[in-house]
Amino acid sequence: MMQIKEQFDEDRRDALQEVVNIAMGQAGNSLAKLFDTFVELSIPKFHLCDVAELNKVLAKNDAYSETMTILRQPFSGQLRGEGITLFNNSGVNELGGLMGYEGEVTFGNEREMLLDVCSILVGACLNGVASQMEMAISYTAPTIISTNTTIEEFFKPGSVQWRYAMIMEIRLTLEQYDFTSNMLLFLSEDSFQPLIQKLDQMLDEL
Amino acid sequence: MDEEISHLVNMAVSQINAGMVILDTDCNIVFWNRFMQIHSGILEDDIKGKNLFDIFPDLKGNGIEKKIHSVFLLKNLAFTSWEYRPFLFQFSNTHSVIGGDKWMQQDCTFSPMINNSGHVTHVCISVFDSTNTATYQKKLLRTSGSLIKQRNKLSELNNKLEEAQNQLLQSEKMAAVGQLAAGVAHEINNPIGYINSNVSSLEGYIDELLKILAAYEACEPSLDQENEHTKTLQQTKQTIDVGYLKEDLADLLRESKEGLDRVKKIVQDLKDFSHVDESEWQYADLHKGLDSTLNVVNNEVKYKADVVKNYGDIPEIECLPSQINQVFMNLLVNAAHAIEAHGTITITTGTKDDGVWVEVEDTGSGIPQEKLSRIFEPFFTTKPVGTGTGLGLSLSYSIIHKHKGKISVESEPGKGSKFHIWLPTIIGGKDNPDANAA
Repeated sequence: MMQIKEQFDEDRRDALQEVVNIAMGQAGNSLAKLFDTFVELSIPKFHLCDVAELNKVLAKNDAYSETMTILRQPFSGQLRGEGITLFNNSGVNELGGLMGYEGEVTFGNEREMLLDVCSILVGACLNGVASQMEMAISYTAPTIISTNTTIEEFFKPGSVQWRYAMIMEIRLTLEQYDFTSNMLLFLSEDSFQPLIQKLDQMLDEL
Repeated sequence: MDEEISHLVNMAVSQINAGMVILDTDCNIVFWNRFMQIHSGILEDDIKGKNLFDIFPDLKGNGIEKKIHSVFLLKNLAFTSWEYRPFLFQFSNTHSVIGGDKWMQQDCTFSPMINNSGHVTHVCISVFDSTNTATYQKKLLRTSGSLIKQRNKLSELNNKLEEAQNQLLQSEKMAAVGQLAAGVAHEINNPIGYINSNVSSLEGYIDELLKILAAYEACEPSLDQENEHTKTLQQTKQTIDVGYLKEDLADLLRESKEGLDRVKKIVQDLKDFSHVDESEWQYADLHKGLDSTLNVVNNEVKYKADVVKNYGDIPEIECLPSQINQVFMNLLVNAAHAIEAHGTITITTGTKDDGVWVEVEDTGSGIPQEKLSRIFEPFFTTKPVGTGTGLGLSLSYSIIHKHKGKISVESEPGKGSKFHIWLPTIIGGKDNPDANAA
């Protein structure tokens, strides 16, 4: 673990942050166009940690204290991992108009909207990173994992498969709709080596 | 070679067992593969160049436009899943023989088609037939649903069993209390018997002694007042205060006899109440039962309420007297508990149809409407924790039920409650399988 932390030294971290910031800028732009409303994407925070540490990190944020709907979308290719999207169980009703539904929103519609938002968020953020780094990634359809869990229960050691990962934490806010969603992008350990190589390549080109 | 591969790819796209639709930026259809043609019955030539939403107006206004838009804009993938949207295109079920859902269940993916300069020029919709998965999944859901139902039923049965067991325990306890009471009554009866006769003898002896005293007092003035013996007698008389003694002796005897009468009455009531020697179906006078029960619970009632008896003219009824008394006891104690300071408990009886009715009405706190329907449930109690077992009324209910009678309640919060019992005069207790199962 120390080794991995050392591998992501300051230069590499800075380079990654730069790439991600640009990607978020693009993503924010596209999302604003898509939803036709003002979209705020937080500056991504990085955590390199194991599952026990993650809960400690997340416990500091009030946004994760309530029960939430949790969705995940796997991605594969040179970057592998899963995007976990978290919705507070409020504000979802507002989404109907935003997602192009006319008339009454059914239970099925609501679920599909959450899946769409998950997929849009994960895609918008990762596509920007992947294209800057010239990496090919593909996505699997998102699924709803849980509708009534706290994040702490969800990430209990032993209840999830991953042990060690790079986690990118991003928050999406649609102020006009009183809607917030948090996303945790998990990059699995086998993505670290290709990622470091690409970062070094970029640093060399500077 | 390139041509050959391109031919193969075309063939693959045509033969692949999935739908493929390609749309341009205006959502006009530019490609419609063989799968789509077969299942929709629309040939590619008839649909090419036409707008997707014109041909399938059902897709409008439910998020599909936005999905396609997001793919163009974000170079993203978008999805639909049969679970939340059973199908995108309404195709007949491929499993037309064995059955399943009426329509083909579909998982769809919307993917961007990006040109060399990095722009999304088209969106490809791939349609996968998930009917099989969906059928199995739904079957599984139904099975697990019915399993959950069965499990709930089972736990309900378990609860009922527990309730029944508790009622049994409670009635066994009551029977034991009855037996104990009868035993105690019997044991007390003997000493009370000889105390009673001794007190009667004592009364006679004292009368005789008092006669001697009277005789002495009559001749007292004619005695020699200076005689030493006379002086000793008079002194003793003064010390023991014979006047008071005479008066008090009578009182003491009267009170002792009253006390004995009361003990005798209580013993009789205990015997009547427990009916240990009468645990068979028999004809009994409910008024007697009410009176003996009132005596047994007198301590609970007398400080709380005045008891008004409006006894009507009722025949004896066939019953298990000890159990009916138990019901009366529950109702009377509950009535007393419902009264906070001081009130009235009215007991009214009468006849109706082929039976008799008993009403116990109190001026207590009453029972809120929402609790009224539950008060005959086992373990339901409105009394503070530890005070009531919540079994009294449920036991009463089952006793009345066993007598083929009815028990009901009317109540108004703040005004009081009225319990109404109706019991048939004749049950045919001999044929009643429950008759001796108390």
